[in-house]
Amino acid sequence: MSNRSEKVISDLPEEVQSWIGETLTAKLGPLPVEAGMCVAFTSATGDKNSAYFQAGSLACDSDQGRRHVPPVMLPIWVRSLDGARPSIEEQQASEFHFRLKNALGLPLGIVKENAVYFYHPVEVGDVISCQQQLIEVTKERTNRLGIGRDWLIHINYYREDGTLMGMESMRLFGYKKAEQS
Amino acid sequence: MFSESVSLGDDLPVLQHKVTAKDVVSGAAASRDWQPLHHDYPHAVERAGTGNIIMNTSTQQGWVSRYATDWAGPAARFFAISIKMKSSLCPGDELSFSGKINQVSALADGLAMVNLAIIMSVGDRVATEAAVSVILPGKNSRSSVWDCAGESLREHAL
Repeated sequence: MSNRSEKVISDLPEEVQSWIGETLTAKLGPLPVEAGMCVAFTSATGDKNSAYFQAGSLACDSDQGRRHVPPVMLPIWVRSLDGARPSIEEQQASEFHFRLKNALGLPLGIVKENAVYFYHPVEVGDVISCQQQLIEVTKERTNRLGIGRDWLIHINYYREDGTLMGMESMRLFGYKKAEQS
Repeated sequence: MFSESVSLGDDLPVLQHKVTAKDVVSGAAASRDWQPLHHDYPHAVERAGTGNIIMNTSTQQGWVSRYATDWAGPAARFFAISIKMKSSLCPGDELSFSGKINQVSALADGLAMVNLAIIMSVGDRVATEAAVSVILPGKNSRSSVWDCAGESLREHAL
């Protein structure tokens, strides 16, 4: 994990600097893990792993006897169903990403790097929440997409009983096309 | 796949797939990602400058997971994934997956953490580099791959 004091860039607005190191908890309300989304996701990637299609397939201590879902879907369970951006009071999983785009006047964004560790199996019916921390925002740079900055966000995912289900690190590039500057 | 069956340097079988617009859009929808550059062609070309709609991160992770577990089998535990997106994946791309075992770490009871280096390429162009960690059971393992405490395994992963 990065150290806040090393990561503050002086040309950032004070408001943005104040976010570095801050932790937010996403509050989207209960959105239980559901089988239909799992079917849609595995269909989209042609994934026929039988472990996702029968309840109790893991046969481990933490298997609650319900169907478990692909681990890589972990971040999906904290996203809103309709794609609408909730209010600030209902901070979403990528809240810092959207805050930064707005605050820095960078309307576009792409993910550059992403790493996720999966600590426990997620099963249908679980309710997942997350906490995110903004680690760093870099200096402005220009690439083929336009002018922008990179930022790094760490996210912890929890089951409703408080179990840490996984950890994610995400580096994004927020940008505007050159002609928008 | 069992832990006894794998060795450092082993190659995974190549998987090839031609990316379609349906792949990109259905993957984005199934991952609740309604950013327009994953479904809106005019936005992607005229506003985002990506040249076409592009496959989102979650869908790429899904493909990498599918590729790794097609090889490792349903008894394997998918423990970690890291991806670096070097260039975009778009409809029409002839996508090729290749992979190699770059680390094998013995765990308790015959289990093993196996780290894979996976490349998603289109012709000579590398689209995405991925690293994946899976835990394989041993032929005589009594414990489940899921019974290992997650956080303590990170020293062996990726």
